[in-house]
Amino acid sequence: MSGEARSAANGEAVLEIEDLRTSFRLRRGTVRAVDGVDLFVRRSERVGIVGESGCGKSTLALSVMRLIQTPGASITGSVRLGGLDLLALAEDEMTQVRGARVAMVYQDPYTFLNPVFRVGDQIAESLIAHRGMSIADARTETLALLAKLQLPQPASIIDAYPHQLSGGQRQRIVIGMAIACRPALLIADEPTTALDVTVQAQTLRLIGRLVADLGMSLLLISHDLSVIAALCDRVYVMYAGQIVESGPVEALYGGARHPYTSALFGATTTLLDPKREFTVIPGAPPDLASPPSGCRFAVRCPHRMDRCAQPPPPFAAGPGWDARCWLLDETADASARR
Amino acid sequence: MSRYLFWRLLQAIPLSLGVIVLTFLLIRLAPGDPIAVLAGERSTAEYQAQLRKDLGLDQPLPVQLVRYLGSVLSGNLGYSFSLQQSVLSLVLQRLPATLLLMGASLLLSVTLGVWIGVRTAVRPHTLGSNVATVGSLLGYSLPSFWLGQILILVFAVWLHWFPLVGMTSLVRLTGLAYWADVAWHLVLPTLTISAFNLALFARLVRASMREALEQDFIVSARGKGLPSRIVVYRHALRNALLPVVTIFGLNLGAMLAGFVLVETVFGWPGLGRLTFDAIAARDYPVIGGMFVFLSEAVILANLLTDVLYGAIDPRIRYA
Repeated sequence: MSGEARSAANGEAVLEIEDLRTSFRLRRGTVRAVDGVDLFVRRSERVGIVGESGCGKSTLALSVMRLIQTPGASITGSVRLGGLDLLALAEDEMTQVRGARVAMVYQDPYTFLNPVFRVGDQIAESLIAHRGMSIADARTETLALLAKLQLPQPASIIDAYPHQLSGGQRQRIVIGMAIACRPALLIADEPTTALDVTVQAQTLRLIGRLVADLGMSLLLISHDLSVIAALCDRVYVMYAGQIVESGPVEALYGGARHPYTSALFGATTTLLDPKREFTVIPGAPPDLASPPSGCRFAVRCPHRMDRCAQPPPPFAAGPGWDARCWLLDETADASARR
Repeated sequence: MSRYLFWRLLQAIPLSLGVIVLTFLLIRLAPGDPIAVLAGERSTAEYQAQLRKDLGLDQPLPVQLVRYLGSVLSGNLGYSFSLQQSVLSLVLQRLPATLLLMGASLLLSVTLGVWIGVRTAVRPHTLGSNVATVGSLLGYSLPSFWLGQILILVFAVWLHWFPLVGMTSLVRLTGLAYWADVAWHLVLPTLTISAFNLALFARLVRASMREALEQDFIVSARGKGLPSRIVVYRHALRNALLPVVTIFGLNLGAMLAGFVLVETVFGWPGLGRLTFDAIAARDYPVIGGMFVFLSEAVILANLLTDVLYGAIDPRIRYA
């Protein structure tokens, strides 16, 4: 754990993850989808996790929620939510935490809503389960919530079925399900990926406003750097199950220190600068059933050196800014020059 | 919903007419001459001709068909040669016994089948699950007439726990004692009929529950902090029941057909037994009447299934 994480632990951290490891036993071996992640989210802070698909960011989110259902999955390490050790809780205790203190917005509003129940009921059941509300009270509260989600005509939408709503409206319902009980931490896993481009910005703004209004902390997961930039204060860059760089959004966007982060930026296009060419990262991420023992990005890295065969520790790149790359090791640089 | 219902009802009309025509033709196709059975083997040719004329069997087939259609539609299913009664009154007499047996076995097989299916889907690798899986395979594959006879042998002949045959004891009973007696007679035939359906539902529900539990909305239901009881029985089961309801509707016809054997084995005074006796006596009006009656019952059952389907899945209701 870095010094900064420890200082966060002393006061304001809502979520603190230490050495989180999630693995799946498959026929071809044990896949370590999340492999030793340290991460924290302060109160009212908006933190992003960025990485390409398959890097373990969704598994990380589901591990925090303890929603991984795959038989033979193992989660170790520590996940503390406001002082509560989530991985140590019994399942029925965790049931009381989910939805009430930490809740999640999922990627696909088409599949994460139950097709046979009215959307209002799908929000209200959370209120009934956690706040012990009567059905009538929960309905009133749900109506107010639908208005807060900027859904048109809440009085008719509350009785609609998911298939009667548009993708953007459904995603608002999913958001409503998550924030109904005002959790301290909201985890949003690719909340706009399945939506039309026109609705994406709207949905992101809504999430940002709700997080601010309700005083929640946000952990936003995305493969899209611009989504993270629009909403987050700090960002963690994930590669092959590990955090390779973390720091304030402005710092990283100003000049990433880890070659993978730089490559990610190079691989994005922007409408504002259409003439800029984007570069492709050569190769593919390592097989997480047998990852390389040293730096996991080394085989694709343009700056590869001999030391990369050893796993790099996090090096400080600035205040609150770490990168796991030997390039940042000044003593090594010096010794190499000698 | 009412529009949907209206169209489904409208569709049922040509289907019903088709069934009646088919029944008529099927009976005429069957080997053997009803007149020979009716008049007796030693009757004179004149008597047989007279009988043929009286019953209208000398008319050309289309004329017979139109007469048949007309009488069926006016509620007249014909007159039983062997039992000297109108077919409709026979059917109505025997219907309650069959409905009782059917209701009891449906109640048992649906409730227990759904429960076993859900349990084995939620905890697939426990001892109880494996026992239930093997048991349902057995129940699924044992022929009901054989199972019925084995049950009679073991529980009636050897152990004397249950009566051999029939729906009531020979002693006249009234009130509660009568119903207790009927219930006592009901046990073995109900078990016999339920074995197959119980197994069918348990297997169906297990398969569709396992699929439902894999869905994303189960993750979000758990993510809301709902207790697993609600996640399983509300969110998963409601979705898992859709295919089950379909099979249930399709299977009602087969189930009614199974009653012919089971009621015969247990001497149960219902429609199945009536059908069996009618076939043995070549009592064509009764066979034809049963055909029409059972077909209409199946059409009605399918109609109800569709309505039920719409009630469970809003996407169908509003389509």
